[in-house]
Amino acid sequence: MIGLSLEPTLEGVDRAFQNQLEHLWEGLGEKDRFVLELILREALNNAVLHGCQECGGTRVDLEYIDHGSEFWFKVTDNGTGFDWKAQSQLAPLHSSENGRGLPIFKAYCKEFNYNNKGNSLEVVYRFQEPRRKTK
Amino acid sequence: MTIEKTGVTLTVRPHGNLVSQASISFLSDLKAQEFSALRKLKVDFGLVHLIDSMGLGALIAIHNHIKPLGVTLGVMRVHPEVYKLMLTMGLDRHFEVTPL
Repeated sequence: MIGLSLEPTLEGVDRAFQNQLEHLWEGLGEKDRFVLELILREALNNAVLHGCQECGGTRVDLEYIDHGSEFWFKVTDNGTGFDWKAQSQLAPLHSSENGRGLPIFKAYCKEFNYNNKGNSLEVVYRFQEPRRKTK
Repeated sequence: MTIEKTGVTLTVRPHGNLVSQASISFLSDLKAQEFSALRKLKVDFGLVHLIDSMGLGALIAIHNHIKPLGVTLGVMRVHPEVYKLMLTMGLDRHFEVTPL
């Protein structure tokens, strides 16, 4: 398992993708690359915006394992917790500017689960394209 | 982002992905435009390979901003995975979304 801590800001998320997570795309097809970056960004942005900026958190941790056919990751913040149960009951308002994070997980992930406190999200993504061998 | 006005149409071209902080800048730059003499806002997505929920929210926000002014939004040249995501999230119910 690989783990890293991110600066709990949107700029910190962008920097992680530029400097620490680029190796994840090696050997991935276009669709898998798109989806993996999308769901990682959603989880990290949620931790920054809801876990830290709204709920008082000061750190965001990412852990992940690439199993070959599936990719598991967990994003945890140290905030007071996001009310994902209430949020998951709401249908996204189509004219709303927010509320598309959970529908994205539902559309693309094999599994996703928050802990009871709502400050830790585990996601399993099943790769949909053959992996290319890398050096 | 480049911005070009032709008649009653404003065409904007983001130069990269519409994610996180870039979505906030995109929305802020667009809201700063003068829409009163316009009828159409075209967003050229030819260089956008990834969009997240913040980027989708920014498009909805600009749509909500210009609709009362009588301006319609069209997002054009959308890459396949971005296009599928937009349709999955129902953005095509609000404005025109055209694939690459």
